[in-house]
Amino acid sequence: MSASESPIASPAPGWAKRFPRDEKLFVVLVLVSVAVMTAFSVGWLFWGSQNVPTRAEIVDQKAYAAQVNEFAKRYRADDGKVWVPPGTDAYMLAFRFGWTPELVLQEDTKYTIWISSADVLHGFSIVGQNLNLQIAPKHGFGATITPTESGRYRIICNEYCGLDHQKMTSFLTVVPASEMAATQETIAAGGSDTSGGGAAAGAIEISADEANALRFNVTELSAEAGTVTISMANPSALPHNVAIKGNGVDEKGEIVGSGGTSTVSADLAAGTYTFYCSVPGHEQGGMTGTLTVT
Amino acid sequence: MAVVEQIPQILRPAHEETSRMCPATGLRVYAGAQALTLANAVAAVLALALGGLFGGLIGLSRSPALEFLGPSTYYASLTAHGVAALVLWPVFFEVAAMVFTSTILLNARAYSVALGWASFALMVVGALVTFVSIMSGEATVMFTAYPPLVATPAFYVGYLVFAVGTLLAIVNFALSIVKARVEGVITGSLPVITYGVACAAILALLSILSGLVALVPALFYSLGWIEGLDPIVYRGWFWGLGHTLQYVNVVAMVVAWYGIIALAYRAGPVNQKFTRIAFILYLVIALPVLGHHFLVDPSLGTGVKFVGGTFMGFALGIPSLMHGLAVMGGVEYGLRREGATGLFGWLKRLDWTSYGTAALAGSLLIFAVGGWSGTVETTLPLNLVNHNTMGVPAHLHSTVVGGMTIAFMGFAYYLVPLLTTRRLWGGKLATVQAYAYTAGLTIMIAGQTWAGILGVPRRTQSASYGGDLPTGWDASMNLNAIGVAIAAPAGALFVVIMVMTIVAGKKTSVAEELVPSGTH
Repeated sequence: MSASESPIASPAPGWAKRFPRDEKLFVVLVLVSVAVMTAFSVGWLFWGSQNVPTRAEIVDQKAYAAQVNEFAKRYRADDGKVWVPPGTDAYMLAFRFGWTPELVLQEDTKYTIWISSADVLHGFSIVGQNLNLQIAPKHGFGATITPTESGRYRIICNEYCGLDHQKMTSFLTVVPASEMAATQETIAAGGSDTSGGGAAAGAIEISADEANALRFNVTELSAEAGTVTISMANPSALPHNVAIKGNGVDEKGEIVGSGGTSTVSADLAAGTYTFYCSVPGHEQGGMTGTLTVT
Repeated sequence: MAVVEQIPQILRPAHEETSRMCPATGLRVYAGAQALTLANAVAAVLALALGGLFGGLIGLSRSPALEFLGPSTYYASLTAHGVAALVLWPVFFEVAAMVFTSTILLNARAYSVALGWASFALMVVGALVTFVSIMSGEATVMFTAYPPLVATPAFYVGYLVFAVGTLLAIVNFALSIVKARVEGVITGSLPVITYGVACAAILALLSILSGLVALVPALFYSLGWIEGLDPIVYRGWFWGLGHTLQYVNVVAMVVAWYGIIALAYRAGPVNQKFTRIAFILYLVIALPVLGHHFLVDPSLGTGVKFVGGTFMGFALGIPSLMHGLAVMGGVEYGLRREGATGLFGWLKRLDWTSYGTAALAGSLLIFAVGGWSGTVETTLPLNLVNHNTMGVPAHLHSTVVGGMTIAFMGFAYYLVPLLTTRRLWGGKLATVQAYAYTAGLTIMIAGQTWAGILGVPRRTQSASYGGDLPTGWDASMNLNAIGVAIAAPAGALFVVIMVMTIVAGKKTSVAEELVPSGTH
């Protein structure tokens, strides 16, 4: 050690030549520890079993949403979940405030799950599994995972995405091979999903905003008392539905992705009702209107 | 000398400025520099009061047993906490340090007192505009404001005005040093803490430039002038601001360590060269380390992530460890020269009831924990485990609050009495404050670390998700709230001590009353 000099005054000339032995030894020890940590973390990349996905692509948001929709339609079972056969890539879309579709995977099978966002940044996190990925619009992330244990896992969003961020959750189910095989047979026999067809006969036809804004193409609707049916086409990249509430009525249509149609029916007496999208945050965002029944 | 004869007109003193001699340090203190330092320090303390208030609210509300804030209030409070505690408080304090180390410490005048006040005015106006926009509920986007989330234009305008004010302060800092040299007020090497602040100022300059590239397009986006922003590109430029700013904070914290040991123990770094090399290392390593924000992003190759995030993150430990040795070693060396014996005899010579000792010990201890957790989190495969969990706030509260804020508090306990020539109000209350704050933060950080390991998400109003969650999610966040319940009042006590010192501290010119010794 050399003489210590006040840090609040100019040091005596010659300080630049002094670099004592004790400190040299300390720096060497620090460098060695950095080298050891670096070596271990590089090794982990090659021999570790839990590494950051390396597949990322720039995606067109609209095309990606359509791809998710097509994939979901093809493998959707009667329980509404999408059963992914082994060897098939899965596609998910994060949106404010949810995840679509809900996936079922086969145990001990390697899958690549592609995830992108329809709107803002989200965080893909599987509770209890400590898998956390940043999800961004226009960027697709392909995570290769091998689920090792059957069960139902909760997915949450862990990047702040808006006022209903804390409600953004879904599930991922892992099943044994036998269960997957049986369900795949049912899906193959039943053909593709029946929902998302055309508008119901006699329905009031409306549409979600094509440019992904949180609104319908109309804000005022009128109908005669009796059974009222509203069919909403969804040309946007976001999942939406149409629902009716007011005067004790609370009916919701199915939430559909890009290209789908959501239909809701209710027996309505004369009065004023609200039609809206029940996806969390969408009504608050402006996706609502007035239905006048006379 | 020819150089001196060619002093540009602008560098000549415009008028005679009044000055006084500091009774404790013998330094010449010019009125303009003193007022500027004090104004920035007061703004910093008020920003900390706001940051602490909102931090206390959200910290308590995150306890599943309380959860008293609704989503819109919670997220607005979290945004306000981030802006006030992570941007306004450190930057105002650092500008105070810039003025102090480039003028008073060098026996010199400020290059331009008017420029200093212009910078201060812009920073205050910018801070207020951003803060009001958050309080109006039109900017609930977190202090990071990742697009396509969008805030009202005023939010970005406030940030930018604040940044321009900070830029002017950096310019004034640099020109003040040049002026002191040209006028021959300083002839030798810069004192270590001025040298450190100069490194901080260079990092601040880099971070502001990066911030402009992020925030100007974000403002245009908010105004509807441009169509879309790639959030990943924004994150790159934003963290060029955000994380580089954290190294401005770290460097300023180290400067505060040296400031405390100089004033409390009359001690210095064990070796000038060693300390200065450590400061320079921050400049070299700090910028690329923003790469760790991309570790689990759908961008950049694994090689880039590893070198920019993981390797650079490890390397950043080097200068911090060097300073840790230089500060503690300097104190030990000084006390041994005064006769301390044995391996730990010097520790007994420290006055553990001194607020300098309390703050220095708390800051060193918790910063070490934060450095360790940062090293863990910056490891590529481990980031997959703790990205955006409570582990991240655990790390940043250890470094920015436990490390930096306690160091700034300790330094302010010496700086503010010297600037106002008033005794620190409350006497040993400051020691109680430093210990209580350290204890509260330790509990809080333990809760956050535990929660992070269990995967509890950060930045959310509630992590209940309708139940069926892993054991410990609730307990860890309740522990966090217990820590907050101790730390927040202790933080408020600092603000009270500062305000009371300025308005009601006893006027004195006795050195030992202004700067009580921290040794026996």
